[in-house]
Amino acid sequence: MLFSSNVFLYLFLPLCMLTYFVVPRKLKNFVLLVFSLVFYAWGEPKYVLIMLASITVAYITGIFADKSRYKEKAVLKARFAMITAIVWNLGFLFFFKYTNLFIKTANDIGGFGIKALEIALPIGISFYSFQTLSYVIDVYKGEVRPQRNILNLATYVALFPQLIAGPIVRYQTIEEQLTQRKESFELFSDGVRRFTFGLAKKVILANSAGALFEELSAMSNDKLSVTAAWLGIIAYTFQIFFDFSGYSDMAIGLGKMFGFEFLENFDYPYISKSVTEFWRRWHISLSTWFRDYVYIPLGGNRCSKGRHIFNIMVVWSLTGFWHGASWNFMGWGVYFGVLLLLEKFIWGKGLVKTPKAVQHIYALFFIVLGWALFAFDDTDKLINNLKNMFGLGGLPLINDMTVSKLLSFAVMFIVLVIASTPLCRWAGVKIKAKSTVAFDAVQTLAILALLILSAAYLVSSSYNPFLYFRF
Amino acid sequence: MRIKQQVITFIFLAFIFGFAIVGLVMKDREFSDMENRTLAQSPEVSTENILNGDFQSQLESYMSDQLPLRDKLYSMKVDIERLMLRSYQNGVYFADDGYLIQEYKESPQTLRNVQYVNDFAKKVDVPMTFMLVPTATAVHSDKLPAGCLNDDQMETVKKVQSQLDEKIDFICPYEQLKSAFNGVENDDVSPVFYRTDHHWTAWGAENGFYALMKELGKEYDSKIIGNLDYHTINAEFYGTLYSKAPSAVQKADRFMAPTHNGGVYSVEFAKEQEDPHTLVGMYDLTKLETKDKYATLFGGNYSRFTIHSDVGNDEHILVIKDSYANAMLPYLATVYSTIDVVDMRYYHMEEKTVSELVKSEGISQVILLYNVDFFNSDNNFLWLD
Repeated sequence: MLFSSNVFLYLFLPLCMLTYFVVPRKLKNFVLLVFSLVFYAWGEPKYVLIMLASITVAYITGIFADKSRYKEKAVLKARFAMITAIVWNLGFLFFFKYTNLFIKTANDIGGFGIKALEIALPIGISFYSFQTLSYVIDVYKGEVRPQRNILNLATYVALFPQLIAGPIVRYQTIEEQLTQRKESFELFSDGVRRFTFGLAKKVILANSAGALFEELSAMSNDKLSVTAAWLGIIAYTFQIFFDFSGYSDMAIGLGKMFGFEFLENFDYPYISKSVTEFWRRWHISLSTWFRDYVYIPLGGNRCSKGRHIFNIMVVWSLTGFWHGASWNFMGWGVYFGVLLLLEKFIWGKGLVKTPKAVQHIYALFFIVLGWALFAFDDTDKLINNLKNMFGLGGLPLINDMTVSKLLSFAVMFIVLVIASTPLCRWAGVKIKAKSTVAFDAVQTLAILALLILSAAYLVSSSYNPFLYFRF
Repeated sequence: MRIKQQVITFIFLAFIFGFAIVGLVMKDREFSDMENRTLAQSPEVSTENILNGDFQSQLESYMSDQLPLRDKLYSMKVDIERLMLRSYQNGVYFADDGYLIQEYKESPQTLRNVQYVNDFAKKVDVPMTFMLVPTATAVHSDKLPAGCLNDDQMETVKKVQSQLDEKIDFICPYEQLKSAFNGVENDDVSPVFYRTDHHWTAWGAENGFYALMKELGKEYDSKIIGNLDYHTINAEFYGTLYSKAPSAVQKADRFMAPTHNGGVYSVEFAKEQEDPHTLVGMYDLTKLETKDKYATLFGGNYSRFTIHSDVGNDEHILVIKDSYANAMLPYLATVYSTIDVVDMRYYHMEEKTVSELVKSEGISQVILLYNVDFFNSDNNFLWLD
């Protein structure tokens, strides 16, 4: 189920809230778990079993990964439990996500003619595998105590706000909240604010930008222009940010409504002045996960320069590959790995001495170019689009179609740019300093307006009038 | 502070529970006048449906289709985007003077349709005239906003004309419609084309009728035409293009149809089950009460019907047509005593093919009457045999 669907907003969520706030404290986690399982099963019921299996494995290995239960010499048992969890989670992730890619690649190279497996990717598996994995590793490291109540652990893994698109919530973040949280008007209303902003980001901004990208990327070269190729990828740049961060906002907001506080996942990534800064602001829960569970265990930067470079490249290849079963995602990760190394060792120091505007343009150029690698999993299309962007496709610089699109999306682009920056927040602070009442009124009305507008945009996707009656 | 938190909490709960409860209590709609289609109904619950996911996707369509305030919400989205200077919505451009104008893209279907018409002409040995009417997209192209990406309908018209069998007399009333429009000073009443609908108006059709009569070298009684009454059938009208791009600031059209006081007209349906039994003369006045007022003309579109009039001649013609013809038929009926009307969208695998019909009914003239947009996109011409 998606947050941005009518079923979620006007059926699932009301029922879930009603039940959750009516039942006594003891049953609240159970209610959340049941609703989360329904939420998960909505798209593909059978994959609930896989998630339940993962939860069970995490529960058992978690208990046995706790070193404190063993005498000194038996800590190997804890290590074994942790390795079991790693093998299980990565094994499942690889099997469901990457098997067909490897089969296809082997066929392309060796012509083996192996049949692709009929497996669909269980939704959210990339997220919950990482969550259960980090839980068991943290237990092993002694950073958290194992969860003895399987219902609580299952609630953590399956918790529907963050289940299918993150943020990757670490067990240590909500360990205490699982058993001792307190819902309040303060948290709930703050959750409403976050959820509403996220919903509007997704259904108004991301979908509008996405429609432009879809249209332009489906056009054949004879209709395109160089400007249109850039316009398309810039639209994609906005789409992916508002889609993804909107989803994180909705997750964080829903969490708050039920008394949970997750960590932030995005921090205005497009105002970055370098690629390094971009990755501190983009999908924070993923980059910190890779930092803590891959980069640091590999030795991080406390090693030789060669090893350090190796560590960085491993982390960024994996980060890229995590995004999807296609080589262009790994290419995208490697691209950022190389850029980060260049900033670290070659031009990073020089960059900070240039004017701020130059730094912003520099960072945005490489971010947007990165999305050009990310957006197409078809290599021919990817190369064709890159050629078009850099004027190697023999396209005109601009044409009537491009002008038409620029005209009709101009205002939308202004809105997208403003929404990508902390401008609204800054304006809010200014208003609040002058009058708290005015600020409260503006914010409350904005929430109401955005909710209604989001409902309008949501309904428009199915609005489909016919000139002639359809039988 | 606490009051604000409570207000925001209340707003959100009112929002999700409001749509939930009103949606539950409100009676489901079967058909949307606005969208001109049947709406999704509540899905069937069964283990199989749930396991294969059908139930889930049907429930989403159902809730979306039956959402309270659905049409108003959509209209709000259109206006927000208009405020953001989007001049295009759902295949429709917001043009000058309150006109909604359909997008036009030439399709390869046009030349296929020409071929079907040519093949048909070989089987018929009575005179045949093909009138291809440009739509507002061409006639009012000067009203379109900057940056439109339409193809040129007149290019399509040229192509059709050049490919058409020489036996077929071809006419495109572009100039006539253009000058008819330019001759009007007050265009409050949408003279040639409706502002909110994809059809031409009675007056547009009347000018088409003059062009056709001239082409056929046919006399008509200008006294009758001049004295037609347009007050009897006259109602406020929001058409199909409004449905596609419903803006709250859109001005309504007036739907009008000519009444010939003193003339006697009747319509006979070839199939009893198609007869709506609500026609008075050529008009279905019950449709004036519905959203689709253009359907007042003959009650809509049918496979075949015959118009009988008290014109004192025995001329029997056949009109093969789309819905544009519906507005012109009342004028033609003042000239011909019997008009057979066939719509290829519904005239499939009938007892007689159209060419057999021409022979058996003693038809003296065949008229094909289509608008460019329809001829460019419809794929039912293969039934024309």
